[in-house]
Parts: sequence; structure tokens; C-alpha cells
Amino acid sequence: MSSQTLIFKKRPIVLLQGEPLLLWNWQQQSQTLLQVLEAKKVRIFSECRSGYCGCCRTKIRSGSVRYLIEPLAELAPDECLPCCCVPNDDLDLELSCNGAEMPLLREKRHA
Amino acid sequence: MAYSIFCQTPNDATREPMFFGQAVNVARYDQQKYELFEKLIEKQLSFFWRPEEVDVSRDKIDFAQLPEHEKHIFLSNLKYQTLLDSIQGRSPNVAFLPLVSLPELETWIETWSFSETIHSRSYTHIIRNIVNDPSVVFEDIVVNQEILKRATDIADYYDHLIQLTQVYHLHGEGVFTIAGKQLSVTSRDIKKALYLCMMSVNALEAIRFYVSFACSFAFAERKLMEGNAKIIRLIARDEALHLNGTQHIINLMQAGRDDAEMGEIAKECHQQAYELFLRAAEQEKDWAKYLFKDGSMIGLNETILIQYVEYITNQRMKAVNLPLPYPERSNPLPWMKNWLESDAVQVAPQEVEVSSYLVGQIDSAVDENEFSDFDL
Repeated sequence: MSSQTLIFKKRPIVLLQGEPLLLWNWQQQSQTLLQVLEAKKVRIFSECRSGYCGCCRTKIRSGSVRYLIEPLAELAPDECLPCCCVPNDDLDLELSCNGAEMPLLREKRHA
Repeated sequence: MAYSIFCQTPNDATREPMFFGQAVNVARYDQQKYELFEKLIEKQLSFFWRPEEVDVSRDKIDFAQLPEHEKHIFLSNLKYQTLLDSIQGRSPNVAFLPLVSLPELETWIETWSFSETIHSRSYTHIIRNIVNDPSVVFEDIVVNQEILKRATDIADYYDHLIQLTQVYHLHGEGVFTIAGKQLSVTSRDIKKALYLCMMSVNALEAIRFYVSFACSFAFAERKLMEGNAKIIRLIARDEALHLNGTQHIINLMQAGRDDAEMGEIAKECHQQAYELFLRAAEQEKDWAKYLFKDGSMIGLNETILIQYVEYITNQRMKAVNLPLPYPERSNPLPWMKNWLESDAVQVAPQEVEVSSYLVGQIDSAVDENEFSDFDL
């Protein structure tokens, strides 16, 4: 699959413990995952925001990320530093949706 | 088990554990067991700064205008920071270097400790500028009961580890009577002391320091003592890196892949480590009471600082795989984020956002009379 042809890439969905939070917008190119999560009021702890303190370390339930700068932390295969990465595909994070601005889902409204 | 500064037995350092292997002989970095330490060293070196680069002259005027209870908050906080860095500027070297067996980790410990000495020097720079007689501030550190209470707790873990190591290097394992006290020394005892000491260092860097940072930044949020805040911001940037290093060492110890016995000890000490963190947090809360005993300041009071202690303690304990003692909450000091964010740290003064640089550089107030003697 090393074709040079540009293949349309589906916009990744970011989920919090299985609950969909948002559809990633590639137009927000300079934004990191952390900034997007914060804009949605997700409770996440951060400090240096440049990948060297390791404070925003977050567990990935499924999916993968791409780093904008190389993180200075030993990360397990299922961990990421949201301050310096963007989602690569649908990304389910081990973060609580408490307090976050979750989208209203149709099924939920009827329930 | 006599210690030698240059062990002549050839070995492959990449097969040694972090601590208690064969002492480091050749300081070589072409082959490394844990590359992260090398990356930390590089980052720390790239962070190099000197306190003299930061102009703190405006702080003298600010300080003189502070009400008495705020002077107490500022000076007590500074004394505490001085104490913490006095300890950290030497203890990792004294306590950990005789036990370390990886060259990259050895150099990281030295680099880490060295940067703490810069912090110590910057406190002198700050204190010299705001008071006429720095001795008044420095000499109080070793007599002030509130500060000493915490110094005892921090130093104990180091002192215990250092004593065990010294006896072990002199006599090897066994039970000895040292200054009238029975002391049992086994390599397992030393490993346990090291694990707890590392946890205590982590609590110091991760909780105690941040409580003091909050106080420094609270002044700067009101555009006061900004020179000081700029220095503390550089210190906080270094501290975030040290914290990363210590947490990494602890995580490696807990995983047990580096040294299986250390993994067992980590499990064994789980409750002790939990209590250690909790005690540090409770001491910081007592300190908050002492700081605000004569009154609070705009933007920060005892209640908020205590909430912050609980918030930050939870975050730090999560990072070293300990259960969380306090209820989960959102950050009670949201503005701390702006001060801890490293992109906002600028070393070159002309790029600084801190207004102390801008104030006083250009007098933009022009009176009409200034042109009275102008002739065209």
C-alpha cells in the first residue's frame, strides 16, 4: 500500500471511553489533540504542553496518534501525550466525559 | 563491598540494572540502556539559563509597597523554596551516585542536581534585591519551626539511605551498632530505602514545589513581583523535566524488568509510598495555613491553595500508579497553566511578555511643554 495517490482520509472520530466527542477537523492544522480536548472542556491535566513533562499522558483504548513533535517520555504502546499529537484514525481515549461538552446523540435524546 | 570510583572490572553497562549493579567505570554514551535519560540531559542543557539574565529591580519597589501580611507570604514562600533547592542541589548526588550503575543515568543525576544549584543561586539573586540584609531571610530558614517541620521529613529519607549505603560500603551486610543504635544492613534494605527515597523526591518535586510556584505566580497574576515570577517560571520549566525523570525511574522500578527484586519491593512498599505522599500533601496544607495566617491575598487564599494541593497530589499519585486520596475535581487555579506552559517561557528579554521589562524602558508620557523651546 505504498501508493503515492492521495487517498481520501476519513475524518477521525475522537471518543471518550466509547462515547463520541467530536469529528476531527483537519482544517485546524496547527491544533494539538490537547487543545481540541480542552476546547470541549474535557478534564485533562497538562503542564509544559511541549511533550517533555509527561503530565498529559493518556491511555488509548483504541486507535492511534501521530506526533507533531517527538515526545520526551517513555510511552507504552497504548499511551499518548495529547499535547503534541493529533489522531491518526478513530481514537478512543481513557478520559472521563464528566464536564465535557458532549454532542447530543439522537438515540440519547429519545431514551 | 568497598566502593571504587573507577571499577576496573570490564562490564557491559547495558546489562546492569539502574542501581546496585557494578558501579559505573567508563562514562560512555554510545550504547545506552535507557535512552530517555540521555534525552533528558540534552533537554536540560538546552534549558540553561542564569539568574542574572532576569532583571528583578522592579521587584524592590513592588515589595516595599506590599502590605505586611503579603510580605510574610512572599518571604516565607521564598525561604521554603530556598530550603527545597538547598536539599535538591546536593542530595541526588550524595545519595544516588554511589549506587548508580548506568552511565547515562549517572550523568542525568549530575545534570539534574546541577540545575538545582542554579535555582539556589537565583534565590540569592532575588533576596539580595528585595531586602537590605539577606541574612535575615537566610538565617531564619534553619530556625523557623514551620519550615523545619517539613525539612525533617524530606531529609530523613535521604539520610537513612545515605547511612545504609555508607555502612554497606564499609562493612558489607550485617547488623551493626552505629552511635548506640542497632542498624541492620542488607542489600534489600538499601533497595527499599532507595525506592522510598525516590518516592519522597518525587513528592518534593511534584507537590511541594508546585505549592510554592502557585504562590509566586499568584503575585505575578496581579502584576507584582514579576521579575521573581519570571525566574520561578524558568525554575518550574526545569522542575517539570526533573519530575519526568524521577517518575520514569519510579515506573522502571515498579515494572521490575530492570531489577526483579526492586519490583517486589515496590509492591511491598505500596502502602508506605501512599502514606508518604499523603503526609507531604497534609504538610503542605498546614503550610498554607501558616502562609495565610495574617490574611489572604487577591486571587489566593488558604482554601484555594489547599484545594490546589489536593488536586495536584491526585495528579502526581496517578503518574506513579498510586491510588488517589482526594475526590476528583477540576483545577482550582486555572491560571497556573499559563505560567507552566513552556512555550510562553522566553529567555531573551526583548521577547518577554512580562511587563516589567516594558515598564520603565520607554517613557511614553509626553507633556506639551516639552516642545516649548522648539523653534522651526
